[in-house]
Amino acid sequence: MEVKINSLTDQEMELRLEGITPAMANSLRRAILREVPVMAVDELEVKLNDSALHDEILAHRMAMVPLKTPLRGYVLPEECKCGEGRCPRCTVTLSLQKEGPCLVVSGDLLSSDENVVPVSDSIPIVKLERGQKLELIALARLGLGKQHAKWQPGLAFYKYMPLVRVNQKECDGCEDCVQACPPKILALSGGKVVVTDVLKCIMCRMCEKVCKRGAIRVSFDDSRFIFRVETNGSLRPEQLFLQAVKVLAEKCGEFEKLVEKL
Amino acid sequence: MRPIRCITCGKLLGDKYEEFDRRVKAGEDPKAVLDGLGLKRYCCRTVMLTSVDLTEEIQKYKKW
Repeated sequence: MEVKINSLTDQEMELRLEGITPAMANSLRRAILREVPVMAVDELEVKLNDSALHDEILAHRMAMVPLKTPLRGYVLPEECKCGEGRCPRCTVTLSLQKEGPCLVVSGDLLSSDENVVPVSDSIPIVKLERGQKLELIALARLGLGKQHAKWQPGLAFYKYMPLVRVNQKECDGCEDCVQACPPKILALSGGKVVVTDVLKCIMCRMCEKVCKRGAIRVSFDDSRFIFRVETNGSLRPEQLFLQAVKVLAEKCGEFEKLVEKL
Repeated sequence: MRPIRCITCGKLLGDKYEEFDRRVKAGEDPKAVLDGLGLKRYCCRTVMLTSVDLTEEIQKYKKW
């Protein structure tokens, strides 16, 4: 398997994976969506809530706030020795105390660990009118995307490498396909059609449809993938990808052991 | 309150409303603002364009 990074930002990454099967690309995708642990608010102790939102809605909104997650230092509450999921090895407390009039934002949360803080400080949680008070303690824990979407670290999706072939003998340069192509990746050069940026092809086959001579063919290569990873900010995209690979490798190791026992 | 995450894909939108509202109110084309915020999928764009904040309406009838 060959991996090449096409582009990388704080939130997004585009990879080119070559020499793997669709099944493997899909298991990577699923590992990213379901198996990489990140922090999210899991429990709320509401002491005072005068706001217009019910405690439950408030809890839901708090859980949706993505938290920055260090790769080391915390364990899943199921694996923690404390057994309750309340010790500092598995839980981070975020406290909040506000009185209106104001807009309560994620930046108002005071974390017990400076490494586990909301990704952005400007996420609105609830509006308070004059005299309304809000006082709560939120417990954030590690969790897996398969348990709840709040623990989903990001998105991953891929497409097969598109192949656009122009039969130069048949092509008469009528430019119909150049006009029809939605992402505009075809161009005319020297009376013949050429592909400018095949990565942008969406495989809609419009060019095939409009070509009267059948000179253009769209297909794909299912051993090469354009793989995109998007995070919600809790991990960096390359960290997320590597963690997913690690989890997948661990799972394969477990599977191997089980098979050997048979 | 408006959703913190995109209802369909889970992208974080909570920190983008302030800028979106301010720029649209200033007369910018919503399309350009959405592009500027990096919202490519139509699910996130729909949430940004159509969500309504009703907390102030509810506040009127709230006793505490």
